[in-house]
Amino acid sequence: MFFECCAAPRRENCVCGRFKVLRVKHEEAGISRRLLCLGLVPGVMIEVLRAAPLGDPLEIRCQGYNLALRREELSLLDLERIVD
Amino acid sequence: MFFDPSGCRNCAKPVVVARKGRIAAIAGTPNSGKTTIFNALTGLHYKVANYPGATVERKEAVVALPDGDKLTLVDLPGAYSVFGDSPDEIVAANYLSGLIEESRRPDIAICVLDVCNLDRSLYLALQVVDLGLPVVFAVTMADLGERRGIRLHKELLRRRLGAPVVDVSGRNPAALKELSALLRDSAVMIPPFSWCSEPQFRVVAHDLGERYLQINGIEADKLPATSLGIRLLNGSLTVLDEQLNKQILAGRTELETAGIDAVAYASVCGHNHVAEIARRAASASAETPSGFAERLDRIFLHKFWGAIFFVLVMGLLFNAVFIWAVYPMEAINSFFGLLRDFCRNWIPEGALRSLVADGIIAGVGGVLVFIPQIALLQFFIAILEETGYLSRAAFLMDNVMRRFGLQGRSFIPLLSSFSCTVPGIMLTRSIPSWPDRMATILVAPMMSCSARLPIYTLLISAFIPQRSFGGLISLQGLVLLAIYFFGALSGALAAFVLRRTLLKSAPAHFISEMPPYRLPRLGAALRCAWDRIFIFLRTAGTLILLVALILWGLIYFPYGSSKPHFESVQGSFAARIGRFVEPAIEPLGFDWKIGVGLLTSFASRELFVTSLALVNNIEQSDSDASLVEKIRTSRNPETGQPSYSLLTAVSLLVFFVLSCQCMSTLVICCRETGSWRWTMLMFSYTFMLAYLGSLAVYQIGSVLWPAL
Repeated sequence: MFFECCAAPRRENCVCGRFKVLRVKHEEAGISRRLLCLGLVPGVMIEVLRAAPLGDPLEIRCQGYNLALRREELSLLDLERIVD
Repeated sequence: MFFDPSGCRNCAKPVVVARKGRIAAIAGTPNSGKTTIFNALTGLHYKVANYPGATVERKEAVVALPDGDKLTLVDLPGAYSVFGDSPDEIVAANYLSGLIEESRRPDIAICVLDVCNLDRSLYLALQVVDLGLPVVFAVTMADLGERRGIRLHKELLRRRLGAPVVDVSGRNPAALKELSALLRDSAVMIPPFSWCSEPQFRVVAHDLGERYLQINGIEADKLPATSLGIRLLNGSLTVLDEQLNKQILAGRTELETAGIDAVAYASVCGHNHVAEIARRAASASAETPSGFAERLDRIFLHKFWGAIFFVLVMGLLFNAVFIWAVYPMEAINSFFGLLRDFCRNWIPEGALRSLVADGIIAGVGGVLVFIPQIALLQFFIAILEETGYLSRAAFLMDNVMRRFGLQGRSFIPLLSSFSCTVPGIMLTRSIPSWPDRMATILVAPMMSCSARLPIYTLLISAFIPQRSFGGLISLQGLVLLAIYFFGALSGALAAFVLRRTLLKSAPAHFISEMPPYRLPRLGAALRCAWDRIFIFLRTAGTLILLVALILWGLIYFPYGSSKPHFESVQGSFAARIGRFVEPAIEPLGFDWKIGVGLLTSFASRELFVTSLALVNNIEQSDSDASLVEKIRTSRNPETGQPSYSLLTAVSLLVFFVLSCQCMSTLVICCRETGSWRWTMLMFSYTFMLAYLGSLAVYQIGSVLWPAL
């Protein structure tokens, strides 16, 4: 579901919202490790706040602090959207 | 109590370290207030040094403890975990693990716990505990947390962690005293790996760690083998040894068959463990967004207003440097003018007078003029950094920069390079990806640093007419702006080419924290500017003075004042050297005087002006005209034509924009990259670009506009 949003980077409105991290993929060990170190571990809730003016990177909020990352990095996480 | 294969002998007992010359390291996540604690404990009397083998800075100070004992305090670079991959995180992890040669492992660690980010700080703190260091916990930002509705139960945290916890937020003097008293004798060794519920994981990690230590010839019980083993398992510590690599792979497979994810296990369990502690110790959930930062982000990161604001901030920054700095610069200039007149009047005619007036004062004074510019730029960058805006700027710029093969994190180093390439290159150590970091370092010299500004100013005021459009925009200012854009554009193109040829790799990654907005502290920014001036003064007092003296000697001798000034200079040693290189630079439109300047500017760029000032001063020392006048009126003795034309000036400008003629930059590049090959590459490619650029400008220009 999340990847459908990623496929259409211009319509970034649908990216914003709250998600639960289900899994961190190991495709790129260095990046996965970094995401894990920053607290993006399975079970954590994140909120995608906004996209930068040109559509990428994204600003997210996780465990009380803000992070900037690109769509590729976020796509290493399996996310489940939380519908309020 | 868990089974502990590393055989920790001091579990849960306070360790009284009676040894003299103890070292305490302050470990914490970035922006957690580490440096504030450090500054408060040391009273700002620290010295900055580099870690051996890396230019990651380390601040060190010796402090007196309440009983008169001495303790060395070390401020580590901020790190999110010991599994990091940016150079400064690696240094922090290796320093705490005792892996850095030539520097002793700390005896105690002060773990900083930021109340507003308790999860993250605890995560790092427990990793430090796993390294087997006695710890003291220092709580920061409790006042900020209270405003956000987060209350910390200190007593609960102390009981849960089993080590002393001091709240030092707001620089409370009593708390700081308590902290230093604790450092004396109350640091506690906590049982490590309390998050690990799989004994098998620890056994595998411990075996790998022991093997690693064995290969490196270190006694196994001196360093934390299990923790090193975990780093080997998740790939944050790499080794060349083939056998050990096989063993690591075997270890991962073994764990995977047991259902443990070797790469993620430590991080996931560690985070879950600290989340549970944090939930109990802090009363409000960390999910409460801080409304203030969010409201500011809505403006600063807005699609339209964010971009406008960014341009305004950058405009203000450069305006400050190029317009406001002019007044103090003029003051310094006239001071040195007075000093020279004074020397001329009081020292009798001869070699000594020429040495003092034309050598030392003209040479060093010509360079000291730039102090206001350097200080202002550094000051404004420090202020922007403190407010948290620079990280937002990196966020805004990431998309633009990635098109050239760079990334958002390259923005801050490149911006700093406009003040000086050396700190700019040093800032690249926060970039985790090697090709990105290398590309940033290689193009950093093209961002026109403040040392080049004197050259630009000199040439522009000598050759660009003072015309203004509508009384507001001056032609000279526009040309200066164009030069800066030309440099930045060339850098971007160079990065584009480098990332597709020598530094070809998968697109880089950009993950960066957006720190909370804070009010900038004037004192810290002033200190930052002062540090920069100090480094500059040190160069001016040593290298520049030395080169100025040598240069003066080369220009003054062999004839000295035995012949008229003009002939003396024409026959001097410097002229002979200059004429030797003249054939190579003639196609660029340069004469021997510029040749001498180019040669001296290899040591440092600002020396070009020094050298031009020296040659022209001694040559026309009877005249009282300014350097700009002297250059404008200087004539070729053979043809009677002016020595320098507008075309020469443009060609020279292009040369200086592109070339990396600065010893300090080359030295720092060599140290940062650890490779003289890359350094040579940086020097030669910029030099080639500069030469070809100037050649093209002069040759094409003299065909198209022969009148110039």
